[in-house]
Amino acid sequence: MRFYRPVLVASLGVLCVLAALHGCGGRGSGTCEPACTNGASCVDGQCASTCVPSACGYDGICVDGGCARAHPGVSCPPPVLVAGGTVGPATPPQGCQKPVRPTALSPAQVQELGVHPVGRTVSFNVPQNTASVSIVSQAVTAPESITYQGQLLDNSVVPDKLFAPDGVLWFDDNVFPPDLADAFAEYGGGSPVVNFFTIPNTQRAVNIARDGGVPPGTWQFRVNDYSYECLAISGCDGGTDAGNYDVKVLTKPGSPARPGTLDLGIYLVQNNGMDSGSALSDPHMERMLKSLTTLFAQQGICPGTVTFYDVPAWAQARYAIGIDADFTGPCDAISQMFTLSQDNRSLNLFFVSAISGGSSGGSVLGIDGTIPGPSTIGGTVHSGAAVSVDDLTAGTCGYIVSPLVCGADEVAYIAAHEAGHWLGLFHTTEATGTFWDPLADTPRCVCQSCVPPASIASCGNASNPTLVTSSTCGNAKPECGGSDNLMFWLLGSSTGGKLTPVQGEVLYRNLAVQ
Amino acid sequence: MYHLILTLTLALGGVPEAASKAQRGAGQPAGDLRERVETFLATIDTAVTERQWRELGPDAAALLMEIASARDQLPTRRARAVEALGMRQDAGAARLVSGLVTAASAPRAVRLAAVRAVPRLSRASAQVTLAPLLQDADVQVRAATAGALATLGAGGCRLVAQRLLRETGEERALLERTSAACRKP
Repeated sequence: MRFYRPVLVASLGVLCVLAALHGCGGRGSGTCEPACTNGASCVDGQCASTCVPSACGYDGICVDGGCARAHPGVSCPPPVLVAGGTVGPATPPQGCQKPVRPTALSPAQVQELGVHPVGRTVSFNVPQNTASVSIVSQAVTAPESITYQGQLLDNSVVPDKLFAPDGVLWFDDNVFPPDLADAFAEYGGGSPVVNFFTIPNTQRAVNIARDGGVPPGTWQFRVNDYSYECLAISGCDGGTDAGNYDVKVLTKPGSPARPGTLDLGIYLVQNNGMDSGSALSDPHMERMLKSLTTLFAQQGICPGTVTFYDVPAWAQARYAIGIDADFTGPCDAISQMFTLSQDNRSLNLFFVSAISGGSSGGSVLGIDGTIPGPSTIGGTVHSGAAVSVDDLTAGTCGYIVSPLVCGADEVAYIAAHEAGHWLGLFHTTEATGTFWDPLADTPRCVCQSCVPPASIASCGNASNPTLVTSSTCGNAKPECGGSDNLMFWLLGSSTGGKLTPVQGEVLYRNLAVQ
Repeated sequence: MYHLILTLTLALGGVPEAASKAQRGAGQPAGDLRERVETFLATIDTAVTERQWRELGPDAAALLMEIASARDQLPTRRARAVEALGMRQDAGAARLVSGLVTAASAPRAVRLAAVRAVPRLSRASAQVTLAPLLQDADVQVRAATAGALATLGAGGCRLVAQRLLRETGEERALLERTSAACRKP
């Protein structure tokens, strides 16, 4: 009767409430030992459900006859669903769009620093008790690419030589820290045209920010892009100081307070026959949003307003199957698709069909513009995350979040994972088991310690590294964990979709969470 | 710019090329092989390369065919298995994949993956298999078919060119993009 219990524990991993809902201990008699709880009735020694799932609240589930929350976090109300109608130009824009966009924040949170050339040092002020600071650099004019060690690369923009008010260097793009958790800041790369650099995003910086916020006072950094750095690096061609960037600094005041609200914009590029109107009552979409809520609510974040948007026919035709994870430059399809996003504080999810892997390989299920995404700034080439929704209506869905068998749950899981990137989270452990995120409470999976003995020699091998898997990272040893984390690199058999408290703290400090 | 190195490793390179000698090829334990197949099918935002699929060895084909044809599996999982069969050029899967191309009951994701895989699995008959799909009502199927035919050279490109005459607007542009190989010298 309670076959679902191991399924619950194994597949979700966040159901601490189950301990309280012990259920039935019947042994074939007419009584139940222990007694049934939570409204369950004892029938033939078994506690029978008298629970109606719809009566368990938006993110509640029906377990052992009673209602329980599907996660140990906050209880979320249903999000407000809005049909946003069709957005974007009626006809395809000519050429590559690389607009400089405003933020949707109130002026009190914005410091417009103006347009500056690379190499110039600029300063900004951080007020007392600031939860996070984001430096936004948007290209006004900038070279498109560089060639580094023979490989053509997009010209990413990233602030460099970031100094705190006490003169401590927080970030140097030419110094890679031995342990990211000890770094003041981490930059994930891959941000041509637009960069959204947010602190705190490492354990060290989070620890500092817990004590009165990001250090107040005058900070400074150097406007910078790869092309500028290229001037001083051997093996690099295309170096120039021609880049000019619009720079602004966004601050989030106060201490991170829970619960938080995250607005979502869902762009129906691959619409599966639904539009922004019918999505409001589509059962698969409803399921997807419930599961997404479950995943985020464990760290106290609830979807607030979810706005569905349709895109013009030309955009559907161009992008539904046209996204290639191998081509993510500013003028490639995915980046141009993201320019359809609206000016608001929403985290933008573009629902597309399968995302091809291009020449590098097979398809992927999701892809984020940058880590983090440009929260509160819509319409840029990085203002979105793409999610494959080909599975949305498929599979079998029960009461619990089951991304391996329920298509809507899988879409929710992928959406939550990519949203996690947008909000500043990295993979807890990368494929090789030799790179980890910069947070201290996320389980690591260390290749050397976790893979079978015969594979250890190839850990970190430059050309043929051993990969860590869901089973090798399934918590058999303390240093072999993390496959049950939402930000693990795999959607695996022991996936639980967990988020740790510090991951939650990074999410909370993001400007998209209100 | 040392962060660029990490970028290259993690973001641009896909799944790092994997498999030690102990891991790869025929003769590896069935459980290990299944785990490696499952791992590759479970990546979220990291692509698995053709070489990595090939290095799983010939025994992986049966597992992939099993997953590709399992109706109780999620469509993208089946589609990725079909993709893998195509990338690996598992000739034994040609019949299965050709059948999926025209299987009305197959999810679109699976059909599209099968369309792309056909030229790699059965080049000789691919043109015959794919040509009818240029008339499909679904532009995404037509676009994927045009892309697949474009890999077959002059014969396939002739069919695409004929179809393009009947396409208009953005749909024509989509087919032109997917069949861009036809216009390369």
